[in-house]
Amino acid sequence: MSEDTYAALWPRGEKTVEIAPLAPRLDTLEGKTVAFLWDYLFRGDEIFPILEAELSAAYPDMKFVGHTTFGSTHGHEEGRILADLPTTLAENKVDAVISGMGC
Amino acid sequence: MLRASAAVEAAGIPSSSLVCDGFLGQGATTAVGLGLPNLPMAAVPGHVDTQTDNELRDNLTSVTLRAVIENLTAAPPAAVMIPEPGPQDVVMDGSFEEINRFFYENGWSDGLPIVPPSREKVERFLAFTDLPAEHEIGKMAPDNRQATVWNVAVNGVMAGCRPQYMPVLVALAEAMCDPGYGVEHSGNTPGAETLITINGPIIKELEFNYEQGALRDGFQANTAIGRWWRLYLRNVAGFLPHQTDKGTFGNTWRVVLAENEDVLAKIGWPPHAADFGHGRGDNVVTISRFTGGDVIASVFGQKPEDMLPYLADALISQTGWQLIFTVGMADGSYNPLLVLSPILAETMAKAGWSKDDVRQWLFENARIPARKFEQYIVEYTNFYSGGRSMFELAQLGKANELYGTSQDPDRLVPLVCNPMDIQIAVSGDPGRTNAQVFSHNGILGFPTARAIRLPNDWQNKLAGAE
Amino acid sequence: MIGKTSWPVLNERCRVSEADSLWVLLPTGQRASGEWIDDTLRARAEEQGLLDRLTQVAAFPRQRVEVVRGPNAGAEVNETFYRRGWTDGLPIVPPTTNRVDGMLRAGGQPRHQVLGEAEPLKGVVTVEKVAVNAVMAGCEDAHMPVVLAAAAALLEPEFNLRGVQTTDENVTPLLVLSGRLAKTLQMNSRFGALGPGWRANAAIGRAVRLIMHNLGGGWPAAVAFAGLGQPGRYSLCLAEDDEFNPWESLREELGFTVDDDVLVVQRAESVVNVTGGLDDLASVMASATSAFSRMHGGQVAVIIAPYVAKMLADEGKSKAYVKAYLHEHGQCGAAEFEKSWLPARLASQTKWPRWVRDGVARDSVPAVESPDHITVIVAGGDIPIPQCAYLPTWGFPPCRIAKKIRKTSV
Repeated sequence: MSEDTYAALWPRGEKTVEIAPLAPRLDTLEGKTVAFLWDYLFRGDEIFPILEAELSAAYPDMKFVGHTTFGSTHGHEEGRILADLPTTLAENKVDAVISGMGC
Repeated sequence: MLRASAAVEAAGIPSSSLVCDGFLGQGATTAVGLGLPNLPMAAVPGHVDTQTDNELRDNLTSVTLRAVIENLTAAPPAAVMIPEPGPQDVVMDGSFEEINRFFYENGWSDGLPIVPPSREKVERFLAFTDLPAEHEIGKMAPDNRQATVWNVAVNGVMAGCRPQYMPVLVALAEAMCDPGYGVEHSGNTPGAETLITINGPIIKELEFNYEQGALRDGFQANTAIGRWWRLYLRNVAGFLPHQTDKGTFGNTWRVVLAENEDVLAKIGWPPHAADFGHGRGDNVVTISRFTGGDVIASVFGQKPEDMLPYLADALISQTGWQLIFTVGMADGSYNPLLVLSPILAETMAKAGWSKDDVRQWLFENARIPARKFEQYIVEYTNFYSGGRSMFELAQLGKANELYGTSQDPDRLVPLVCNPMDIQIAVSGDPGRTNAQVFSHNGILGFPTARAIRLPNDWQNKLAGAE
Repeated sequence: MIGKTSWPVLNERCRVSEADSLWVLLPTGQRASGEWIDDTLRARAEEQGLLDRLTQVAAFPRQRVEVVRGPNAGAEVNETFYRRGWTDGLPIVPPTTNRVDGMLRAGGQPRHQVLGEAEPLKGVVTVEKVAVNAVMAGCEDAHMPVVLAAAAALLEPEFNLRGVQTTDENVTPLLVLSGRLAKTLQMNSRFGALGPGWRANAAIGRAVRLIMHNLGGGWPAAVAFAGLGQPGRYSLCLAEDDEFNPWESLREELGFTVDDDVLVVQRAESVVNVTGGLDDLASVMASATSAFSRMHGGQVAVIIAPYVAKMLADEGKSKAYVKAYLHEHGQCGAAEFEKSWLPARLASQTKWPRWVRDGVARDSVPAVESPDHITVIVAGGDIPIPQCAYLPTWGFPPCRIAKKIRKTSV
């Protein structure tokens, strides 16, 4: 019985991403400035104040920059806001960022 | 949201990304696509929308807080590249059944039989484009894989396309990679599905159906190319259910909608592609992601003024949560589609109405009370939680001024910010007074068009094809 | 190794029938981000000189399913899986799609459901991956609900899987099935309950080890550096004997009903055989075998032979009495404690638990903090030279995990 066989090719595309290094971590949160970035979804506006309160309790000298300083990270201005981040983060002397919400 | 975190890391600042349990897998995969496989995430247990305030607080303080601190202060282990097959490798040599089983078991198929993509078959597709096989069309999230002419053809073979469909497929891949479209949103939870429309002489050359049953399967061009779209989203963009594709229900591929250009020519209406700057007679594909819609049966009336109130009502009834794409998120990006059967378009044209006249009328009359608009985007969905009314947003310049004409909650406001946001196409059974409305996913699948490039000697090649 | 590789074309044009092809699912772990843990393991294995034996680590197609063809496909799968580092050294049952499907039907949970991430290399534990490793281990379909319960237990934070996988101690999971399901599955609770011969005891324990190995990446000498390990790392799994147990069953002690089937999971170091009764057990517990329950706290286990259990029950003594007796008499003097290895060498660096320090002050250091920290299991053959056992523990936090087995129609 002759059965046709086929040499089937891989249907995917080559992964092209280079692995970018992560930014260095802080050795402590004490005295640092943390900014919140929000995509305006999933109760970030309720969650951030809770985290801020808890972090302040643990690290009394921390400072915080609210999400309204930056704007929505998932609106139609996303491209501009993200492109401006290096500047806006530096202007606000931000040491670390909490970014939400993925649900 | 993770793109923001990636931008933060790129700026040299450590980030912690807040992620609900159900999103963790998708998040991790997305992070890989961003080149940051070790992007630290802090889990929020459960899903925030269904938790009481107290439950949310407890979860945040008992689980999330610790993870946030760790994300920002502890270095995660270094990431490792993933070795994979080469882009033109044979992955299996076997019978038709074996290859189908293999592709399905490995997540490369949609569950229907695929045509085994052999080199010989792929090369027949490549003959219908002048671009070289290795030509890079673009990279797409979430997998950041390279879209190439080659893998367009491989998936074209699999989908059951004919080789001569290749120019359409290449144009579609280019449109898919267009940043304006937003393919990276294709796995979002509303699970919207793209509709491809096509214009130009190629409709007849490739025998697309553009008449009765225009949105139905059974015609190879419309059907196989529609299927190709989702196979390509799966295999090259990287959307897989239960992983990166989180559509709650989802839909499946729509067949390609071809316009009835004979009727358009007769009545002097432009093709759909003209909205994107193309002319009558240009071969063009457009893509938009639609969340749903309905057939609008039996549009009764002899004059546009008699017919259009029903169609305006149809736009209203098919639009709900999508209003967030008019006000609140990506303002003014809601672009619903109204497909008119030829007889409806002819009737309107006979009364001297252009397509733009129809749009203008719909823009002015497909309106709902502001209070209802706000109910959709705030009370029902909590999509917009900023606490401001539309009036206030308009005053602050955060919503189109159309929404700030007064504070009266019963004032009528439009569904879109601009008449041109209402897409109109002409197709379907030429003699039936039915229309079809598609509601739209806004910026998360924004209408994008691409010209179809034909190879040299197209006509001869076409003549020689099966 | 990074980048393009050319994958072998799987059929050299010889006509083989489908019957000669094995379609196997890959048992190894992939992280949530898509990386395969084998790439990390390869680096570790290379550093440790393991690639002379494991010649094909990380050399496999990065897919869900692989096809192996030819009349010796089964042997080839065995050899390949061994050389890729995916086994415990013994032959495995090739995890074909059909066999895995059967296991999944018996398990009753959807194949893509994620149970968690297995430490330390964080391979995602899906129900399907559990089934693949269960097939490899030689489990019957009916064993799957127990394997799933065990996997869930391993993933509980208090099990401390990361610690268990990476410590220099020989700790392994102890699996005890309490309930009538043990009889249905023909799991041994009598003669030779800790030895070979009963498929349920052997395969279920083995499945748990393969899950730890293939999804968590706890490869010996590459990621796991237990000095010796122990035979219990092949399998340490038995059933509590309801007939020989004169007291409350384990499941009832833990708040379940007598009709429930419950898998109890603890961390256990090597089984120490004790011929005799409570005094003999106590003397073993008092010794250096309890070094880590003294350092970390936690639950230990004792197996009471049927003969001893009956004798005690006839004397009117309860299980609570047994625990209290062992706790009170399983104590060593302060001098003996202080000269044993850990206190002698780590005295300045370690803060011993308060109950240990109090014991040193009283010159009587218990093995565990309280009688409740002793799990009593009645099992073994009914012979007048009673074979009891002590299973010390290691690690923190305290861990006695009980998972009720879901009843599915098999």
